[in-house]
Amino acid sequence: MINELTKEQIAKFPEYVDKWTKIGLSTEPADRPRAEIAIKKMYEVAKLKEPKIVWCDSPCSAYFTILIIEKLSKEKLDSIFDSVRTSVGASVGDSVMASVGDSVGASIWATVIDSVWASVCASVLDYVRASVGASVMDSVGSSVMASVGDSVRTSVMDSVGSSVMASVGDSVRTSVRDSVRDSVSKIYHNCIEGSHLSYLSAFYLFFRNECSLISETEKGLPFFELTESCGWIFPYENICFASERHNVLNRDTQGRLHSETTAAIEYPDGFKKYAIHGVRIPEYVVLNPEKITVELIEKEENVEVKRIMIARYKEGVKSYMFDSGSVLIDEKKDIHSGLPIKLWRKDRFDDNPIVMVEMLNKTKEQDDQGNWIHKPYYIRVKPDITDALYAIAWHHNQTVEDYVKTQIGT
Amino acid sequence: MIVDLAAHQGDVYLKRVELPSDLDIKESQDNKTILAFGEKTGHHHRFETNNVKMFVAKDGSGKTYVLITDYPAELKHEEHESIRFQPGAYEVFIARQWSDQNEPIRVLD
Repeated sequence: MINELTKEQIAKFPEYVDKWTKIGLSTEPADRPRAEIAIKKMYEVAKLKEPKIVWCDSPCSAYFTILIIEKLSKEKLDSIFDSVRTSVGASVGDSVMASVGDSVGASIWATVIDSVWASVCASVLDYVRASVGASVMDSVGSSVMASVGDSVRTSVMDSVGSSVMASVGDSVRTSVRDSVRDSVSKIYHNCIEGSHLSYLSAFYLFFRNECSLISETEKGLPFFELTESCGWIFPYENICFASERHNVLNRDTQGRLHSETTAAIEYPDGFKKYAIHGVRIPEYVVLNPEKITVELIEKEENVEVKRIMIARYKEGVKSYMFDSGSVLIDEKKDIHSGLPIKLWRKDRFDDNPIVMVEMLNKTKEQDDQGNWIHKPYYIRVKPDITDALYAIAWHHNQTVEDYVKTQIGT
Repeated sequence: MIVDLAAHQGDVYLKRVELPSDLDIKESQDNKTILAFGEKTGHHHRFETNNVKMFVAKDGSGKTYVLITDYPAELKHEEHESIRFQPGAYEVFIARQWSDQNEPIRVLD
């Protein structure tokens, strides 16, 4: 049992963090031969028949490809897979996305996906994924746990695994997952997230290489190879869909997906998402901010998206308040921070007025110039509210009497 | 300061209460108790310790509670400073906003 790390071993932490963070954020094309060997070995470890491998250019096109193929009859699958692989090959995702995207409405897609996905889940996916993923990494995890004391494991996880995960997992993997889910209706199903799981490789390879846990981590070798060589994979019985890595990745200084001029993340098939400081937003907000209107801002229900839309509308918040015809009806100071709370009202001749409270995030965040600022938020409140403090209390579902007892707000 | 009465972290407000009796426990995932999900940011308001349990009222009202046992627990979020709470029961309120349908809806972020 390893209960302590040497200074030399601890000094190796940054090396693992650096290497595996770069791998997780890599925009290089997948190393397909290497990835295919890794996938086949993972199936072998799971005692499953060697799969056929179909490459797709993004996790999204992989999903679409799976859904299309699942619609075909079982008898046709073998021949289709062969032809997919030989004649369509790498462009399968492109062609599927292009043809489907043009010809099928979103609601139809949602229906098809709902019904198809249910059958996929009920058949082989759970079993195969569990076999391929868990049988490899669970056994490695158990072996390492049995050989390493709690304090050492925690230390390595905090110093190596968490650092890589903070850079890759939260900012990129989560965003890709949510973007895929946005694109294929509400459906998201687990898969093995390839290079985005580089933090696991960093963690276990540290023990393998620096603490000589060779046999304990042996089964994980194909998984480590996978995380180093390609994007997400979707393992099925007899077939595995593998995705390319992102070829564009833009982030801000805090590692969040961010670009004010282009897509923040993009895959070779054109699947892309736009984000500003980690908030995923519609394409036009980035590429055509002149299309942002007062009406669109007021219809947007997500406060983070709304905040960015207001910031990118003409000259920002002043333009929005002026153009929307709002007037300041009350201003108070926050009970803890002393920061201003403003209440704006816009009267409408054919509907209830729009009343909006403007407040500042009490926790400072870095702006584009690196200055630490309190970000403004605009929350629409009940139209009969005329008092700024009451508006904040209403927003938090509290009475003013209760709200003033708040001990901390951040 | 360790909160023992009420505090808010962005859209999430916690107020000390007596824990009601008719509750269903909400299972946590990977030792994380997530009070509110960040739909567009992927950043969640969450506790990451195993001494926090979350409950939902059985009456269908949607009222949600957390129970912190043994020692203080820290509420975390990427865009807000963390807040430590003393052991005890707290009701969880998610901030609301007014909608185009002229009714309050929960805030999304």
